[in-house]
Amino acid sequence: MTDRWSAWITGTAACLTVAVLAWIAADLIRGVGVVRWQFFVHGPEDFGRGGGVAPMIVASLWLVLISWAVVIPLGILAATALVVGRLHQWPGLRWVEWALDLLAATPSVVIGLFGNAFFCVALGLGFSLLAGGLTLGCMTLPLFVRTTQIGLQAAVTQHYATASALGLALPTTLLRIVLPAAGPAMSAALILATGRSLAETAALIFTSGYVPRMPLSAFDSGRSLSVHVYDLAMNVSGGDQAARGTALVLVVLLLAINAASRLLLGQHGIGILHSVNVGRSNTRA
Amino acid sequence: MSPNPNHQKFTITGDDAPVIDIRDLTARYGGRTVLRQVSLQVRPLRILTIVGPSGCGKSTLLASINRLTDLIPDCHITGEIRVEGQPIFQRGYDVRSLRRRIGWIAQRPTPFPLSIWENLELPMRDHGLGDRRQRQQRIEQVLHRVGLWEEIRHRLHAAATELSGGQQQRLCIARAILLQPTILLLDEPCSHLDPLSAQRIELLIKELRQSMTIVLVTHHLAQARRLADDLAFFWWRDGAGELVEWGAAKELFTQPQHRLTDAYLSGDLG
Repeated sequence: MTDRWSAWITGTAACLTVAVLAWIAADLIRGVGVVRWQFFVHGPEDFGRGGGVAPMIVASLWLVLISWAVVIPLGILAATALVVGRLHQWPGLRWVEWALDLLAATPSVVIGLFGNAFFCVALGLGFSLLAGGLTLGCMTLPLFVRTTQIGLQAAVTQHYATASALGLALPTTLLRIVLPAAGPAMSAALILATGRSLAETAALIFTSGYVPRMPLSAFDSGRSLSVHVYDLAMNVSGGDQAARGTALVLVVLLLAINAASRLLLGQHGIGILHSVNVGRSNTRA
Repeated sequence: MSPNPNHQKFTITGDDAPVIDIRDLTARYGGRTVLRQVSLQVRPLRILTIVGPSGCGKSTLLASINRLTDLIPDCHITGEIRVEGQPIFQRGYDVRSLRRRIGWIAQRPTPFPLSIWENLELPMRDHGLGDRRQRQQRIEQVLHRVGLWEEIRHRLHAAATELSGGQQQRLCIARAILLQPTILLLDEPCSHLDPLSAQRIELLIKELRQSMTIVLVTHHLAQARRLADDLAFFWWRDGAGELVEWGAAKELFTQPQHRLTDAYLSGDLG
């Protein structure tokens, strides 16, 4: 009897989950109608009811690349520092981790206000993709750091004693063994961070703006795909179909970025960066 | 019938001066004592085998010889260990050089997630041993010595984790002896291996004794009987490990001084 109940409850939960996914998929598929090749190369016309989303794709790519430029180096360094700090029992480490978790839980609209005050106004970047990308970097950094830290910690637990017993220098242990071993975790962290960046609207409205023109540099303002979806769905009557098409492009772009970051950091670890073959078969003699 | 930690059955003189000299070693994790007042000497080019039940501090003793205990938070060591005459807990002691001179092999094989070749070359390069050609020669020599060369010569750039458990353990031994240690610490190196692989490791340990001093922790009394020149028997009292008796293996197996040793080595205890 208990078995039947538990099967029933878990089955229902599974069906509900799939139903949500199916609803989203159906909405996206309804957008296929507007997605022609012109959709990718033209700018919007008639407030987005017609034309394409080329400027938004370019703006979104700019934003993701700028946020990566912040998140990848800073995030790897910060996560490494946290792991090394734990090894050496640095005081105050728990406070840093607590601050990161607090930052990760901060609503994106608050991060947007900070980005506006700091990057747009204080640093004088104005409404620009650079300000937007940097804000996204701040927003996703804690998530990236904590996820990477888990991967690094696992690698340290597994290999640090052995490396120490061999008398390896700490930089060698970190660069050649621990960081490459944490490659898959970093890849996962980057995918999560990118997903959040691409989905973000609130933080961007305050920082990168929402002018739907083709950005010519990182100092131009621009409208991301998700801001465009929001605008079409909320402010433009008759923009629903174009919103669905844009959402479809957004999802496909996210999948493409996932695949790319897996290639960069996943299977081969960050071995690509250190020309180390990590955990994969290689039959060269 | 409390164990006598300082019991000693032979005197050490002249050329037999101990390579490792442990005096009154006590190890605590937080407030808990795991090893109490151990005094023990390891003679050069011999195999000292340490036996005793689980949890009596054998691995802690081994890890304190190359100061791996430094990595354990809250681990506090008192007493003294001299390695080749040098007190290793002295302030400013070069731990990196100590660990190069003392090889350490864990229970489970611990290859790095790198290729076989990189597993062997990376530590040598980090310690600045030889140029590329010399390293290549040394690696080939050592792989012959551990009996791996013929098995893996055609796939040196394959991932080390693809090797069998026994091969991985021999690779780890090769990696350790490439740094030309004078002492090798083995912490139950065969406990996760099949009997055939274990036998190969045993043969290798016997061969290695010709050029280095070996301290072997084992649970297998039969293995201890086959390999040990000297034997140390540990037991716990009041929750902490203590050295009950140590001396030449033959004597301990035939005429143990302590009743506990007799019971354990004859298989009546543990």
